Amino acid sequence: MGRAEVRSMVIAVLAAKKRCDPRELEAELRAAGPECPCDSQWLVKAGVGAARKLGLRLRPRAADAWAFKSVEALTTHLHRLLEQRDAA
Amino acid sequence: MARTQSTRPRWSAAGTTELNAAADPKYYLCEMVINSSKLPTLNPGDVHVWQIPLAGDPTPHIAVLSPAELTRLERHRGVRRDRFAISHGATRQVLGGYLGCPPRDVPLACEYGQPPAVPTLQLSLSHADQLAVLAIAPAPVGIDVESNAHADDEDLEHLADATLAPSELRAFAATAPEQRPAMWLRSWVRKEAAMKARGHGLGDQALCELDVSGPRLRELELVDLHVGPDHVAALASMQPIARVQIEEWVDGSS
Repeated sequence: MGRAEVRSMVIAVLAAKKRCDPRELEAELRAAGPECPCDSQWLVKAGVGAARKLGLRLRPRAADAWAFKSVEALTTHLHRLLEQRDAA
Repeated sequence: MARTQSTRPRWSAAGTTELNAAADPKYYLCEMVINSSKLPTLNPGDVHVWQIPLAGDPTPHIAVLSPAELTRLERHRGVRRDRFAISHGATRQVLGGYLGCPPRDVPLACEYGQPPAVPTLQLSLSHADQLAVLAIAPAPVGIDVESNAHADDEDLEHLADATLAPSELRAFAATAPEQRPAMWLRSWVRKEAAMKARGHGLGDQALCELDVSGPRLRELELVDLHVGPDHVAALASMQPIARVQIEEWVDGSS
């Protein structure tokens, strides 16, 4: 699965958690910054949900905090985990 | 620790004014407090919690927002835009009561990614669906609220695995399945409140390393709040809590 697909999944799961339209949400996040910054508590929930769909286990550690600051960072984190799993 | 809960109209509960607020809820909080000889006071150990229903016309609230808040407002769409306006407008009204100034003049810092702050009070703001909660205290405080509608999450088991400390996870596993959503949600709001009170983020301590099952977490005191049947909320304070006073904010801006 490519990074763009992971990103779409993150947006979809985040929108479902926030119970809003994914396109509307993405427009809001883009308006906040190019990295699509978002509250970390929502990104933890979305990250766990997206990880489940990807067959990954996500247990955020302090060292992973960077991944829960924006949609782009979370996408990068999940995509790396996916690549690491597939490479193993 | 004493806890009081009031649903009476704002400052009339504290007896600070002779205005007929109970008879006529359509009044301006800022006017009432400015005209009052006694501003609301916070004693050591007090925490005031304001429940703010996020419904109604946002227009009057938009008029009192700062340029920074307006910039943030414009990023939101639809109902979230309205809720942002009301929560911040109401926060300004409430804080104006404590500071003795009109809502528009409240020096509320509101940078994206940072908790709202004023120079002379400690505060914490959280919202979920149609409810915002604002905690005001003399010492650092954190508050979090979640909607019960979010409790029954299809990712619940994974969320528990990702966020609960080992002892919490064992308790979660030992809990009846139908009670697990509420248990996880209670733990989640306590963790969020604790992190807010400490001014911490995920980079300071992982959620799964934070055991909030007890009444204290080192220097923090943790309290579960009752804010109605649809929400779960928790409060954390860096100082011992002597009294939590819960007030329901009534929109008097329109």
